[in-house]
Amino acid sequence: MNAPVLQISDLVAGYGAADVLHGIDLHVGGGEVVCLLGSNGAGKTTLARCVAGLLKPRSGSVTADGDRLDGLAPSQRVRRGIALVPEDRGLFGGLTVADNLELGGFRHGRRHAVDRLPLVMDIFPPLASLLRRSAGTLSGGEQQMTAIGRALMADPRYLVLDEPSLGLSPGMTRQILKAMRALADDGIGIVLIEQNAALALGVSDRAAVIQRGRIAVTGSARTLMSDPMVIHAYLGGRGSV
Amino acid sequence: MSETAQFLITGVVAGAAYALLSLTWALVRKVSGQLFFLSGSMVVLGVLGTNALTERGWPMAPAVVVVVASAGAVTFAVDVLILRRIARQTELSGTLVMLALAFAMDELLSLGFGPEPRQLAPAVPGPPVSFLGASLQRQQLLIVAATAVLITALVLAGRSRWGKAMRACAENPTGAMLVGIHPTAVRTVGLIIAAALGALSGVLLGPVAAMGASSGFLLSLKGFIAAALGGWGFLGATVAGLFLGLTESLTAGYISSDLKDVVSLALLLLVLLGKDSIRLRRRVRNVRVSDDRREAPLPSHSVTD
Repeated sequence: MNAPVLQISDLVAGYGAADVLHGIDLHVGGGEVVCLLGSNGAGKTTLARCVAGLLKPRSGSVTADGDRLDGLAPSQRVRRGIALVPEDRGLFGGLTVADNLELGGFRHGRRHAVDRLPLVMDIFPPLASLLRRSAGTLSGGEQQMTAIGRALMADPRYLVLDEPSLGLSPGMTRQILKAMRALADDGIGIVLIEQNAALALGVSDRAAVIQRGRIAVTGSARTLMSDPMVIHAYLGGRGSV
Repeated sequence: MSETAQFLITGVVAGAAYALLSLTWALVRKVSGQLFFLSGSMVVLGVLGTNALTERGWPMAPAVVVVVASAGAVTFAVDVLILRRIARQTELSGTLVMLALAFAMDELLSLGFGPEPRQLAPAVPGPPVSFLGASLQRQQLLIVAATAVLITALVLAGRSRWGKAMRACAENPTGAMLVGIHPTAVRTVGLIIAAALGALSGVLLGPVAAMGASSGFLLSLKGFIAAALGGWGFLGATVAGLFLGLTESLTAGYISSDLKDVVSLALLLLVLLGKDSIRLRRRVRNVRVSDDRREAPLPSHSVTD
């Protein structure tokens, strides 16, 4: 039996006439955190959208544990174990935190939501006291916990996080990234798209730098931490984390 | 006393009718964010369609089923052919297209069934009943009872998983897709339910009020006023519908029936102006709250530590 893996092969995608991704190859194993670094406009979010099915690639493929996901709608990909926490978090602001979490397990039915909720509460204990609050009234960190918790309610095999630290304090970012590490240790494959390279590399197994739609550098997180280009461009000239 | 009771009872019955109409608006607003100006046309389709079939000898029950299903089918076609294509347009574009569709639908109803107003035979015939000194037709009792049942069903459905999914689709279609909901399908189901509810309202109201193809727009407007007054929620729209019916009835009874529509439109203006000021105050308060609440840390017992 093959090891579980989310495989992205020779992916080309873009908007209108312009290509943004020019043949991306990347794989994420179950229980692995792969950090994706890159400047604004490099194509990180485009890649995340292709994996989740929000954007149809021009060519190439995405497979999860050997199943081709090409042509599947986002809702069908959720069934195949793919979850995306988008950059804007995608919460339902007028609904409560409890409703947001319940809808996260929409595909699996109400019984599943009841069974799954304690697990999410274990990972993000502050959510327990926020269940009746409207998601739109939460702080940035609370919203991010709700968004990740909602994605976890679907019991994903692969989780794609697009800029989870956006707008958060370093302390909150650190804690959320540590939670992601713990999830990976439980077997979930995680693609971590981050600008905060120092913190993200610290919890990742492997990393890749995407530049102008191509993978420029890839390797273990530890290797990239000492890569001169990564140090210069993403670690502020410091080679330590 | 009996005069006042009569006005109040008339107002409750009219209010129930407005509540039904406002529910179609609230439902469509929840699932698509659009304004359902087709609401009144569906009510008129319910009256004229049922009338046409029963005049041809159809029994009432199958005629109602066919007409309600037709309203759903027409709305499904309109959604697939037009509304889905404008779903990502601005709210103004959507509103203008809905208005155009409502006028086109009224013209089609006029072509298909003629311009004359029609009235249905009462579903519950019999002499009026006396209540608190006022006279009440049995059909009016049925309207109030059916409205109560339909509202309860909608409120309960709105709190179900599917009801929440409908709201999620209207609030954030991309977010809905990412949790495994198919927003287009959910939206279409919501529109079909609203249209069917509109046609069913027509069947209920048909025996107490004659309606023709030109009645649709004013009916739509009343539904809009009640839904807007009630804040677009099912319960709020119901209460606002009853309030609107009572206000109109008392205005018509004690002042002049010519003024009842003026009063409801004035009421809408007042509430919209008031709501703008409330919304602004809330926005200011939310900004202050979000400033105060930035980055509450995770507690020490989190697994993240």
